[in-house]
Amino acid sequence: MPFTTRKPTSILTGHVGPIHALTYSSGAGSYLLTGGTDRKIHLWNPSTSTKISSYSGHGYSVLSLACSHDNTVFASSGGDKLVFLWDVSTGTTVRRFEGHWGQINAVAFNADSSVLVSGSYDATVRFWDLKSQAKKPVQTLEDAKDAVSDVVLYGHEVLAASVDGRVRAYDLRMGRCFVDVVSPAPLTCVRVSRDGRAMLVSALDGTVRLLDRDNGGLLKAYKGHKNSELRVRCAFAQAEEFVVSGSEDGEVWVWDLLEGRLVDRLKAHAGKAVTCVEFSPVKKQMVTAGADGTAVVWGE
Amino acid sequence: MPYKRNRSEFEQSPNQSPSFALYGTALPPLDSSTRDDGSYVPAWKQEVVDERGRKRLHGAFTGGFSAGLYPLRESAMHSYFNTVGSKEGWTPSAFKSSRGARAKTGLPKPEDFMDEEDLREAEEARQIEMNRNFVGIGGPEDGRQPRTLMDLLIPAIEDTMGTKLLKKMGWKEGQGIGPKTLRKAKDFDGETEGSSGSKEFLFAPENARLVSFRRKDDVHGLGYAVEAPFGKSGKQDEGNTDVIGFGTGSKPAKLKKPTGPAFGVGILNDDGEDDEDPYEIRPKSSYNRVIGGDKPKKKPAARPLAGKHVFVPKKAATLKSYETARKCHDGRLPLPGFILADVTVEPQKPHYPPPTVPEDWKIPGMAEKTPAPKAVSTGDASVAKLDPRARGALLGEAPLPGKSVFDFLTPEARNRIANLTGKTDLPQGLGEAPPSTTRSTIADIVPQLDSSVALSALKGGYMPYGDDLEKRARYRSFLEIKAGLREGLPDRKYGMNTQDWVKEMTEFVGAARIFKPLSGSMATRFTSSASTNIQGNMDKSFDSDVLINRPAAKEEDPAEAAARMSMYGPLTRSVIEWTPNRLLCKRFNVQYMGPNTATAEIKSAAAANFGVPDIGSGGVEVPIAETSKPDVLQIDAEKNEALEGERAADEVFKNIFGDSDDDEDE
Repeated sequence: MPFTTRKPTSILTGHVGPIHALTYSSGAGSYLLTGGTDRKIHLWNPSTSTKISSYSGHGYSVLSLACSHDNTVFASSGGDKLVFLWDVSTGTTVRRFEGHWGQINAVAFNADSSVLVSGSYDATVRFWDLKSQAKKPVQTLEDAKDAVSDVVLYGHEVLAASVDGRVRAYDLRMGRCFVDVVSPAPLTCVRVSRDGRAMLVSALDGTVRLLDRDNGGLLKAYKGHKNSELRVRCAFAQAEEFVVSGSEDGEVWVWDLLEGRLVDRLKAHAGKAVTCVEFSPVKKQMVTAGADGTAVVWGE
Repeated sequence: MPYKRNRSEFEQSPNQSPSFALYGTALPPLDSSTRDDGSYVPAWKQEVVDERGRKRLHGAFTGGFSAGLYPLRESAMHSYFNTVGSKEGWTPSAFKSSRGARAKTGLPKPEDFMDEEDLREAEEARQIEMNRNFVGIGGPEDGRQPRTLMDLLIPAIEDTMGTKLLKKMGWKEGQGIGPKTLRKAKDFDGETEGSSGSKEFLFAPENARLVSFRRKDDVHGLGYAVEAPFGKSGKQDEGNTDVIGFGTGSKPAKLKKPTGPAFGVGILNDDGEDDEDPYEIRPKSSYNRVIGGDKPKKKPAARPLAGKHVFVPKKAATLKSYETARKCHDGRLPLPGFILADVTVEPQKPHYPPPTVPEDWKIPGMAEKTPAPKAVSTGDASVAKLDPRARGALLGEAPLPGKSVFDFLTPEARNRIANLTGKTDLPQGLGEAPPSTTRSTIADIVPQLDSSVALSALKGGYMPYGDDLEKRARYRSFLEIKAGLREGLPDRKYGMNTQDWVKEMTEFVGAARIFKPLSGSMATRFTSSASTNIQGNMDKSFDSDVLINRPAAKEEDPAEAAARMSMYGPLTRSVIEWTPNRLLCKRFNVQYMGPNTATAEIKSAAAANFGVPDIGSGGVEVPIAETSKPDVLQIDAEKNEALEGERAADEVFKNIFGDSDDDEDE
């Protein structure tokens, strides 16, 4: 099956600086949230390439975005060491969580949006209770030896990628944390496959690795793109048949997941770094965001 | 008629005394000018006493405010005239029971009997001294006398080795030396107690006094104790010293009795040998009328003037003669026509040469055993050369199982020595391994410190003791010795005894361990400024020693190494225990495991076991079948056991609930 999502359908322009965060809305993924250096968060409809709303409240650049399961609220975080919880309809912050002492690189909701997880430059992962009005985090994980760059939740598991080159998978049910050394270089992005048995990890050594979550073994390594300095995200594409990653030279690299061979190189973002890649959960639609401040919607 | 009487009229009236009956004679008033009947006296007429009950003018002479005049300040209007010295006067402020502290109250202090002068003197006599243990900066080390050069030269006083040995053997100070003797108990006066006369106990031998023979170079009679000149009393000297002198070596001090109160020896301190009355009224001529300097003695006062008969009381005469004439050592005056020599002729110190040892004299009984008589016969010098073994042989002791040098020499070495010296009677070389003797030298008490630690502390470490440069120098030398840069013993402060020295060195060891530069994992986290210097501009101050500070290369994590070699799997995976929060588990819809999974497993195992009780090794199937069958409760609907059953005895309730209040009221 060839990689078909390779045609740019629309370009979303609205951000002034580089875009750092990109996420589809939950469920059908019909909406798109982008956040960038200009401290703004935009809500788009990627299908019609229209901007629906803008949310401003951050004092620093927005680094991460996450949507709740019912799309009523979304969370954002960034350089201002606060996790913002936004009400989508009113455009106001419902809550602000304070506790990290460094920029917050990643936020994520759990399945029923009762807990918000944030990973920060201060090398901690904090759990924030959304059901109570508690100001303090429910729990703080301090195992990481360096900044936590990405946090992903899969069921009862919390995966945190860190600059120390390790992915820590905290299993709440087992009460154990599986530490997988992925790379001696800092990790920038971690994704979990739908069945939860594999994870895709980007590292600053220019490699995207697919790891077996059961035993930590390496399934495949995807190389060729340029990634040594910036946080460039990766993603599963087209029902997890392909692996997509941005590159610092303004290309989107597509590999075959099973064979590991390069399938496609899509040029975009005027040669500037492609920071984020997201593939629609239901449709054959892909969005990439770049340092040029644009988000490109790719389709068939 | 007015109700109120005139004051003067009232005072004149005869029945002014209170309306009670009087018995006896009233005491006259203390002061006839003042009234003592408790009637009102205006303030200016009142007597002012201080807190000690003495008449005072409220500090008029010491600068008080209300010196009998009108007060200058409003607050001083309420001066406490004729009160106990407080504003409240006799009004009790708060009752304080002395029941708990009876001994504390009412004990008079010396200050209570001192007047102001005494108090002032006592205040002046008080001296503020440094605490003995306080070591001030620059002050003497232990607050005693300032150090002299001699103190610095003489090592600190410790128990002598003999004393230490004796103490280890059970000797206590004050006891005599020797085996315990069986004798009757003595009471404190030294007399044998009569009551327990039959019983005998083992006692340490009495401390026998050492008899020291001192050359008698004075003219006192035997047993005559000279009174110490000042301070020390001769009696004490006689009684308490362990040394009995046959005669005294001190100069004859008791040529003249003290005639009056002298410093150190009071007139009443006299031993009362001569029945002199210190308060005897002497003839006026014996009084000293001259201030400053002795009364010039009249030369002829020694003898009564010839041809002039003067009554001289016998006592006075003897006294005079005591004063004026010097008597012989036997107390009598010298023979007429003789005078005592002013200069005592020192008798020639007798010098007796040691007796010459006859040439052929031999130590009785030892002569045959001594193998080398020629060595002995050479005299004192050769005696000093005797080694312990030779001395033991001389004394006839069994030879100790000691080893000779030749025991450790190989036969070849022994032969070489024999060839070199030309002596053929050398013992056989046995070639034994040298014994691992632990030398108990002073070097052994120096605490151990790793040379690398010492070196690193010396090179890069922070130098402590900035406040005591001398100590810092000692610390540095200690480190240098420990690092092997210097030979010898660490410096020791003058006058410091060995224990303190060891303590200080132990402290140095601790300091070296603390202040050595960071190493290992800590050092990898920091980059010292020195090493950045090396990388950057090559400074002139660059010292090769600084290289020591450089942290060792960071050891690569084996998991990272495995990841680098793409050996993913068990090598790169590690599992750490992690306890999710209870609330977090609740939010994630996960069962809370508790702080420890192991205990949780035990719990679950216990829960599994709970349903099936352990029956034992007997029949397995049948008992389980029995236990699994629940007991059928027999319920009688007609009868309620709880209500109709017999009531328990009252004692049961009492024991359970204790005594009720009603019982107490009854």
